[in-house]
Amino acid sequence: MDTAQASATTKTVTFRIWRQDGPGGEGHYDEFRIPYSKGANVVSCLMEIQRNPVTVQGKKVAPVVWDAACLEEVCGSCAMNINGRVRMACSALIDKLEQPITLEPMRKFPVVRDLAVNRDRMFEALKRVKGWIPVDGTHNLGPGPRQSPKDQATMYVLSTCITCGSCLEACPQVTLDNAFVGAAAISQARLFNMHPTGEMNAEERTRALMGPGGVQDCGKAQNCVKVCPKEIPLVTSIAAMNREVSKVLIKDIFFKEEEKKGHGGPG
Amino acid sequence: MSTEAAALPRKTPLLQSRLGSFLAVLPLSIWVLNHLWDNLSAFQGAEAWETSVTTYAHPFSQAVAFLISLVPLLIHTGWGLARLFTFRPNNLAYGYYDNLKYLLQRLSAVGLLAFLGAHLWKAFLAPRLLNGAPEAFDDIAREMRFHGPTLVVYVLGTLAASYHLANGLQGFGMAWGIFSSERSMRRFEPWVIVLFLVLLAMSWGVLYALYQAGEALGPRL
Ligand code: SF4
Ligand code: FES
Repeated sequence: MDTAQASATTKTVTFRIWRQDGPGGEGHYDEFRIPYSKGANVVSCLMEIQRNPVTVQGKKVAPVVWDAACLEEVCGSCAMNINGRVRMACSALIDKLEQPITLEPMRKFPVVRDLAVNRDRMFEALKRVKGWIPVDGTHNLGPGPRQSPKDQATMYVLSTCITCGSCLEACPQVTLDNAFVGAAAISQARLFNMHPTGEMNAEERTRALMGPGGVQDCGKAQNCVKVCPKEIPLVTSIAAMNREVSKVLIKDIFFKEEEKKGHGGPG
Repeated sequence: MSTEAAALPRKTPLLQSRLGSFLAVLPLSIWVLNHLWDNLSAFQGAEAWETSVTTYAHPFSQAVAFLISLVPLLIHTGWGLARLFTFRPNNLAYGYYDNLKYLLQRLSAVGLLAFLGAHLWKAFLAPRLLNGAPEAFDDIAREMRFHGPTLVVYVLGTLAASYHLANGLQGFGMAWGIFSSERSMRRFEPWVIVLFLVLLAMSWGVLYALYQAGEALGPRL
């Protein structure tokens, strides 16, 4: 850190941070001012505030609570509303933000405290779409099935989802209390359906997207794909799963149970 | 599999949703297109218009026509209304083009609901129920020319309808998996715009023809 420069110029950074003691409670904003340091991001500034949680008015308050783990945009825990838009706090550079910097928790998840939210709905959604590949037994199963580099490349991008919740936060179809599973889970269903082993349970995952809160709740506002920090092609994922769902629907109408094939593809 | 299948969520909401979007395209959109086309005969004057818009070869064909347009409209409206209550627009924070289209789709739906309510009552139900006959060309033409609010409501109502139909078709394509990628949706975009302009030209053309005809008739004495 360039301390010489920081002390020479008495630049500061001002934050307006949403404070809320517990779930569902009332809240208010606290304002903090900390010395500017070059290259700082929102998480490092939150750490600075934590060391000395005194507001601009000189009042000592409880330290701000927030989530962060990796500080390199791979754990997904630090998503919050920064100046009104959902972003990863660890990659939000102070130099590129307008001051005062307003920090608020995501609104589509119950607040635990201050900026920390409960993302249970995302994990419930992953469980619902069976966002995993069932592996049978603990013995050595040998090498898995081969997959084409092309599929691998497509799947790799999908696999980078960090369950940060930005896609749900920016989605006008998701509300705090509705059941919509959101773009992330739909995209994960696509990922595991593409996998040569995961394909075995493809129909189950597809059917899981057909109930209340399923893929039909998508309103095509397409904000998800624009806010995703991992640049996952979420609109394509939703469109692809819509096609799978349509196939199941049509098969249900026109085929007898014993004529149906268990997963996608011809037949 | 059987126990697992039982634990899976019901698929009814999806079916309802798919039905809601399907009926809007088939037959509703086709019907709207046909309705506009028929109405273009307003350019040929009263007789041509009455023949193609308000006259039916047989009472049975009239009933079928109403059934084909009104039942899907009701179902689509019910589906859309339910969807309207669960959306939280966020266009100020996320001012993207697609997000704007999403909002406009819903706003136009609300406008359209009001317009269709008025249109169905004034031009379809009221004359038939109260006067026992479909509305005469002269009446509608005069109203278009000499009753300001009617003209404004029709201009805006048909604008909403053109947008809602054209943009809705793109949403339909994605919902049904006809476009299975973002790119294919993008490539359909110009066609949405063309369709919107065509529908708008047709409907405003009809209004223009009615307005002109009203002008020629002069105010009711
Ligand atoms: S899809 Fe993107 S925005 Fe959504 S949870 Fe995963 S990483 Fe976050
Ligand atoms: S701290 Fe892990 S993504 Fe920001």
